[in-house]
Amino acid sequence: MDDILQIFFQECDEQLQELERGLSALSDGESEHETVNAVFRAVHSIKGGAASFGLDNLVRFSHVFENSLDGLRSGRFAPTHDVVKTFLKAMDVLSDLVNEARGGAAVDPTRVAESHAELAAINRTGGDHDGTASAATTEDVIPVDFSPVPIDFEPVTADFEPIPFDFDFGEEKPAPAAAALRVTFHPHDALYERGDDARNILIGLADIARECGGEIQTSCDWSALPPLADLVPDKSYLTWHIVLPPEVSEESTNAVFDWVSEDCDFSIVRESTEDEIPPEQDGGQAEPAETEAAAAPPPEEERAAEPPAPEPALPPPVEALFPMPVAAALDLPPGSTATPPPVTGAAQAAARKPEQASIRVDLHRIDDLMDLVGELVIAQAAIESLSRRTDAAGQHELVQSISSMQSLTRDIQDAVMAVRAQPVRAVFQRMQRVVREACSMTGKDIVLTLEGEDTEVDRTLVEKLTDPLTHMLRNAVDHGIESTEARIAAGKPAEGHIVLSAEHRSGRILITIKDDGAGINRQRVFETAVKRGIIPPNAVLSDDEINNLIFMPGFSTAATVSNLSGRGVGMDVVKQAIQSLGGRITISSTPGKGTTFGFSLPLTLAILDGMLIVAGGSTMVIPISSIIETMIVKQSDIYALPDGSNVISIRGDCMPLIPLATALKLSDAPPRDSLDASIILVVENESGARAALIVDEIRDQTQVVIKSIESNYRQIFGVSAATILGDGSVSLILDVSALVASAIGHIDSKPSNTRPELAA
Amino acid sequence: MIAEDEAGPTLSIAPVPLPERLDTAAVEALKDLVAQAEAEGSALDASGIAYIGGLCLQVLLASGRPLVAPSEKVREAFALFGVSEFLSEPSTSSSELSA
Repeated sequence: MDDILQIFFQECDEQLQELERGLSALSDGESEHETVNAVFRAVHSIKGGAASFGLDNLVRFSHVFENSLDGLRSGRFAPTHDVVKTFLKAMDVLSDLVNEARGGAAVDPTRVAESHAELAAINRTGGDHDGTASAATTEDVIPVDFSPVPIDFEPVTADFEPIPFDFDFGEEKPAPAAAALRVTFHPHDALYERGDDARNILIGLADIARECGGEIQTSCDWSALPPLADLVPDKSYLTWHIVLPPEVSEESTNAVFDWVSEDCDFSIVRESTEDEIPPEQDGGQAEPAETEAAAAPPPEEERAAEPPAPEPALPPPVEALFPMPVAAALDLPPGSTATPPPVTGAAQAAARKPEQASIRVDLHRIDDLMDLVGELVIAQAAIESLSRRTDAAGQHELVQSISSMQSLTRDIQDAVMAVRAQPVRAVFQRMQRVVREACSMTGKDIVLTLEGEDTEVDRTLVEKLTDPLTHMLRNAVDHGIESTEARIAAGKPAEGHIVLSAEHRSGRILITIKDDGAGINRQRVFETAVKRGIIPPNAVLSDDEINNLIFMPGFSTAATVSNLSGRGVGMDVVKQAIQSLGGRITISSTPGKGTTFGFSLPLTLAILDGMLIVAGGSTMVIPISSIIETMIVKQSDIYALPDGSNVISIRGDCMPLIPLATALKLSDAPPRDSLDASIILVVENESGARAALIVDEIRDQTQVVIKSIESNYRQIFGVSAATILGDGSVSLILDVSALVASAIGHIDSKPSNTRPELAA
Repeated sequence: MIAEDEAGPTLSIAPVPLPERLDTAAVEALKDLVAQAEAEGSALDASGIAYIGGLCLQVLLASGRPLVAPSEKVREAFALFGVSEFLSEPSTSSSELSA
């Protein structure tokens, strides 16, 4: 049951994403039928699953939500801005309720009630026929699949103001087919031996017919029945012909036979056969059957769960996952509240358990991986047999074989990465909510636009991005975008815009948060930093450095501490979080136009492409992603500065020249007098600042597995991590950004106390 | 001694009361009961039946014995099984049934 519950919650997550997507599309003005249906289905599926687990809160709320959505679907009201806003709010509540059911924080009942009331209000404005029209359709569309639920609804009014429940479960009626469904059914002896009964099947068929507003017509073929004297009591002789109304789908009919398909002969044919039905069937078969079933003392104690009859009307995913023991409900006397207590108990117990991490992966990715592993096995066998040969040709083939295995290994690595990769959509869509909430707290009107949600990154990154992004977006809402009055005064549209985008750029993922606010007030930032003692008053800082001051611990320019931000903890936490992921933050800001924050993150935290270089006698790795070019310098391009450092001019760009061995204090040999013909690597940090590193030798380009040096030793300046090379030696991976920042720091010759912080 | 209303022309003694639950477990007993009723030429009293399963239905159909005073439950069950006509023809015989 726990497993199924977990699957249910995963389904919920997917449905909530679907819901978010649909509602976003609605708010963008796409009110196509398909969009509305998708939104409706999402809520409906959550309700369906929740009902089978007895998650009452969830069922209650999603029911009301669904009812309102049904109004939208049936065109009773249009998806106006306000309506969509209410739905978005309801979605937030719904997702909190899902979280609560999963064992998360309890949802404030007043929030639920508020959203509840808003939804009900929408539904009411949709037209007075709400209570009549949809209720009327409901009467004949009996929500059999939720039969345990209506009973649960009765005591609801304790928590919520009474909402007229119309029990419209919004069954999606199958498109009317032209012809009726004809079912022929002959139970085997085994069906009775199992304790089942032909009667249950007939009841199941009657139920699905009634669900579609029709009735079944049954005729019994007793031609095979012997006289009483010859009759074997536990042998099955009878065959039934049942005609179902045309609206009934084959799938739902098939589902009736799900549990008995082994124990009976049945055929389901769609054809117009009404005329063949014996006219003496006086038509009353269907409802009496139900009444009888409801009132009959439980004949099926031990087989209550068997007939899956009413199930099929559920949307497929839920249907597949949560077959409900509906027969039990059918046999309960009306009004009984003994719904499914064991299920509820189990569900609640499971809800308290911490969630287990699992991911859903496209099957084809697993298949790809499997194919590659197959090839790897073959390649390994080839190498094994080649290695036994001693002739020169064998040696040559061995080398070839090994190199093809290398490419295979890389493919496998990519395939594994693809398995772990997840679109950032899940995180990004959560941000919509963050912005909505922040807007309602600050009273601003801001639209968040998402771009590149399909960009895939390693799942560890996806999870860890949530907090930094939340901080950044709250900050953008609170500080970035001006108040509506200020915007209008500045000649901007009253509605603020934030764009959150993700893209792949040269082996890294770049996430940008761009607002169209006032931009960073550098003067104020500088003054604040001085006031807080972060920098001395006489410090000379570049624009970029001033921008970066907002990431300093304890920095906040907000005049008042608001709920959202202003406590001076947000931004430095963001920076630390991003840095711990191996990422960098860049800021660019234009006064009056807005600010753009960029996070550049590695795609994976495990492997990087690096260039093997030698400096000061040590082999080290520099991430390829930060290397712009490599070249051999001419003395004439190098200019000495008074402090002893050098700059190099490359095609007119001047950048600091850093002897790597010296910078890392590796070299015991004195610096060379002439730098002519030195090998340099031009490297760049995330904000675009460049420096040239002088190295002794460029050895190779390779993939390295990242091992944390901080967790194994301690942090070292200029080193981000370590790796183990093919020969078994440990090699350091250089932190290019730190080196560049430190070099730029030298050249700016700014007060030394700010340097270490900015260099990080 | 005479059963009320449509007890049928052949009835000479009281109809045999049938048990409340005619489920699969009750089928053997029902067969004996019905065989006995057939031997005695008596009708079957269906007034107390609350549940009829498929196997017991077969026995009742095969016997052709008239069901006296069928309860609402019996009517519903027969309708469900598509054999309502069996109730409305009290004197049906098994030979007619198998026609």
